[in-house]
Amino acid sequence: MTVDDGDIRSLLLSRADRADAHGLRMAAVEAARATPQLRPLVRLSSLTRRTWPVRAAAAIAALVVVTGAIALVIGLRLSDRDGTGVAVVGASPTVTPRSVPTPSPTDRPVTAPPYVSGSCPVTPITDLAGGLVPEVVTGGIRWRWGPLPWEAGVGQKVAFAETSPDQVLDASAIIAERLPIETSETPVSIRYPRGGGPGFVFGVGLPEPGCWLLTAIGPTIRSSVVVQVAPAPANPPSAESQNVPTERASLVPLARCPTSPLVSGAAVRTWLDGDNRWQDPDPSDWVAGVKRKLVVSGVVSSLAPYELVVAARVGIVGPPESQRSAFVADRPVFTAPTPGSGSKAMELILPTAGCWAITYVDPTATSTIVVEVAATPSVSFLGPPAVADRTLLPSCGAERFTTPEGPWNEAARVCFWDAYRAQRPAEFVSTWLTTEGDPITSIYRVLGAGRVEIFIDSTQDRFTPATDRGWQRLDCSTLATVQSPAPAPDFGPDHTCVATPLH
Amino acid sequence: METGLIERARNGDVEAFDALIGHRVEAMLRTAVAIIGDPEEAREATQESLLTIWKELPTLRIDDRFDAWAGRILVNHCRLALKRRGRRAGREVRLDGSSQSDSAATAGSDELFDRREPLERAFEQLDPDDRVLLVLHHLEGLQVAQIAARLEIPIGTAKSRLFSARRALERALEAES
Repeated sequence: MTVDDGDIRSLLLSRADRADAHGLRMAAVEAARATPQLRPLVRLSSLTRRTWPVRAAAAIAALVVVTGAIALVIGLRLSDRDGTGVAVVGASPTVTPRSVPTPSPTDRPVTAPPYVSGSCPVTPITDLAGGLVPEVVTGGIRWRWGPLPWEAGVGQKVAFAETSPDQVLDASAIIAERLPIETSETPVSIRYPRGGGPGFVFGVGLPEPGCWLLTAIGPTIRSSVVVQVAPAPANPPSAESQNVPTERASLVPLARCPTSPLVSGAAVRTWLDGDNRWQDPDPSDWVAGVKRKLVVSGVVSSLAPYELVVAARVGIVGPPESQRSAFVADRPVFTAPTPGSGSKAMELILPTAGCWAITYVDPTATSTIVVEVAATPSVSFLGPPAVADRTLLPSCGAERFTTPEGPWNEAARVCFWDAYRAQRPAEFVSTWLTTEGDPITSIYRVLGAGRVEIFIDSTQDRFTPATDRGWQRLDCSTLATVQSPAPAPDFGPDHTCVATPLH
Repeated sequence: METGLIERARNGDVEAFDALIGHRVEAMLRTAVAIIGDPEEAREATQESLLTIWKELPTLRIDDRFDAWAGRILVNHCRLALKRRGRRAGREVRLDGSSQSDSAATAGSDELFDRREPLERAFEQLDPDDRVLLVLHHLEGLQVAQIAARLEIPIGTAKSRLFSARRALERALEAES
């Protein structure tokens, strides 16, 4: 028995007509008056979208000389609840620790990255060089910065050097990126000495007050510190003393990812970072878009109130002549390890292939490893013959995501969308996990001009009625796009598609 | 204008919240009644939705998505209401064998009632998600892509579920007849 659209609409209109909204609005307003709102933990008053002023490049003096140095420094802003932070630097008499309210259990963002404690896990200062300059030795690197306090918008000189003469680095750079935990704003504040230089002192201007993660990565080093930056001074210094460019150069993939060395002979894939041990129990290659579990233990596994893991893809900042001199973070991924003492387990989905730095942050110490994530291999299916024997097309990769916001395989989506617009053959595989955790896979294929083929596998979706569960092929002329703020194209079948069940 | 209201409401301004929901309350309630059937249950679901919107507003990060976001909250509360009803149904059996919404369905003329009653009963047999899809498409007039965005499901899934919801309605109607 068929039902036409008019019958359904008529039925639904008659049901809707039973609505009596009298008094509902007033009741809702009264309820609102009596109910506090849930506030995101890290909604930062200081994170207004403001333009960073153009600054003249500051002269970068050499403080430390290292033969053929390298470094990658990423500045990731971790948090600042109210923008009133001040620099916390060891026992310096000029600074005062900031008091930050501890959040209530309900005061957590639902969708924002995890943030466990309200205070900045500033890396403990181990020394004051010359009695004034904070010094931290971590991950085989000696960090120094000054002058004090570190104020927002004011260029700092940051120096780092290896602590072991056996270590040889390749290039030099320093980069800070404004990546607050709750937003993905345009990065700012990058300055690095072109062509390296005799010393490795870099100008860093962190534009906002708050808690920042700086990471240095080179072939033999992986080191991070967390610093806190005070609000901008009332009388900012002259432009010459600031070194905050406004434009970010393009990101070029690394020719070779300086991955952390593996511990040979270990039962599972293991990396050592100082006193910390990272383990990956999964023997398969780490591929983009697939959930991966890591376990870290050691110094960072102490009972710490601040537990946060930050992963950032690293590459080289152009122009080409600077390829040996600078790296930058790109779209960081945040996660929280399982609370508790002892070993910390965490799950990460790194959405794109490439070189990733993963840093565990807590007030005791930071620990960083670098891993290389492979592109998702072309997917083969044991589906019906039309799927299993389909013509091979250039693969844009695959993704597996758990929420409508992703994490998506942005590179794969852009690749496929470009191919679709250019009417160039391509294939892209997208697997969505339903609320119940069941996978629904769509294989998108551009066959040529005006010809798109989509295979949809709902065989494992318990939500789909049994009679409709299975494979189907959609033959389409065009694809629909969804207006979405998502960071990658969102597309799907449109009205031109004709569905055919596959057996 | 709306963005300003959202920003003010997000910061705890109840008057701004009032203005924000003012012209939306009735439409929300109509959607809820269409999904749930029973006006009182629908009213309760709408009120809970409005309170959720108020509480969660500070977490809304993109103001332009307010309507889709609020609509998703409403739909979820309607689903919950229907699931609660499903659990209660195991304990609350009416002696006359009718459902609560049957009485509501008798509104209107006898002629309309005669034509619509089997369809109404068939609709009442649908599961919450099938109801939601049909209401979003046939009452609110959303296209498949918009439904996908509203329900946070892939477009392909929305399309196939809408198709299966309609099939389910037809099968239920067949059983009623």
